[in-house]
Amino acid sequence: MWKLGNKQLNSRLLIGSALYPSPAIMCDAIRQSGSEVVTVSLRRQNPGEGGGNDFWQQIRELELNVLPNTAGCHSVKEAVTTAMMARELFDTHWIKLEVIGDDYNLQPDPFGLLEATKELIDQGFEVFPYCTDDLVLCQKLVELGCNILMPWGSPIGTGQGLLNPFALKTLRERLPDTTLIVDAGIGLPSHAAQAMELGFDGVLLNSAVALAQDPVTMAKAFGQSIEAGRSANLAGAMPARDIAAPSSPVVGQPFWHQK
Amino acid sequence: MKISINGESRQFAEDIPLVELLSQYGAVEPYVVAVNTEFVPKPNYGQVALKDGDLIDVVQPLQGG
Repeated sequence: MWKLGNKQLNSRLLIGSALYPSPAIMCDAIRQSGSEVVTVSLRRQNPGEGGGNDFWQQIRELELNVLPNTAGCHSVKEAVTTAMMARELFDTHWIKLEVIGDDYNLQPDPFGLLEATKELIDQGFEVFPYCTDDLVLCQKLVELGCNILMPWGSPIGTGQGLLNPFALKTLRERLPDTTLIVDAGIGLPSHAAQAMELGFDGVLLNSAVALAQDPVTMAKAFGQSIEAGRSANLAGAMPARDIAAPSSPVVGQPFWHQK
Repeated sequence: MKISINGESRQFAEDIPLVELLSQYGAVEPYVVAVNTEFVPKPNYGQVALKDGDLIDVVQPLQGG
C-alpha cells in the first residue's frame, strides 16, 4: 500500500480515460491495468447528444478514484475556474492542474502553474501539478504546499519515454519527501519501469494504452512493468561499470597449464 | 434577450431564471455551470440575474488523460 493524497492505494499506475477504440475497451483496459485512479476532463455539454451520462456512468461503475484535469487551459483564470467546476461535478478536491504554455509541445507554463497552484491550494484543493522536470520550478511548487508533483517524461502523446532521466533522478534525490509521478510521454512499459527504477512513486499515462493495437493487453503489461520497476528500485541495482568482470569463477579454469 | 450558451447564441425571455434557461436548453445531469466565465455553484443558481449578452457554459464529464 502507498499513500496518494488522502487515499491508500495498491497500484502505482494512474490511467487516462481518453482515446480508446470503444467505451467497452476503455473499461476492460482500466480494469486490467489494476489502476485505482482514472483521469477525466470537463467539456461543454451538447444536449442533442444525450449529455455525458453514459461515460460518467461507466466510470462510476469502475468504482475508482477520479482525478479531473484542467486540460486545454492556457490561463490561470481558465484553470482555476475549471478546477472549481470539477470539484462540484466530480465531488473531489483532487485536481490535475494543467496550464499550457506552448501549443506545439503542450509544455506547461511554469509561471501560470505557480500562480494557479497557489490559488487552488488556498481554496483547499489537493493539486497534482503537471509540470516540467525543472528542479527550481518543482521546489517552488513544494514551497507552495504541493505534496504531489507530476513532471513530464516527454511531451503529451509523443510516447518518447523519459527524455531527461538525469533531471528526473535529480528531482527524486532533491525532493525525497514529495510524491513524484511521471505524467506524459510514456510509450512503452519499459519507460514506466525506468521511472519506477529511478524511485518515482507512480506513473500516469493514457495514450500508450489507448492507442496500442490491443489496449487491454497493453494495460496489463503496464501494470506489471510498474510493479517490476518498483521492486527493482527497492532491491537496489548493482553499480554500472565500464570494464567487463567475469561472472564465472576464474580459478580452476580447465586446459590451462603453466609452461 | 440574447444569451450565448456553449458558444451558440440564443433568444430567451427577459428575466428568465438560470434554472429555467438550463431546462429550455435541455441540460442533462450531471453538469456544472459558469456565467461569464465565473463558476456558479448549484446552490447559487437562484441568485443569478441574467442579462442580455451573457455567456453561459454548461459543462459535463468527459474522457480525459
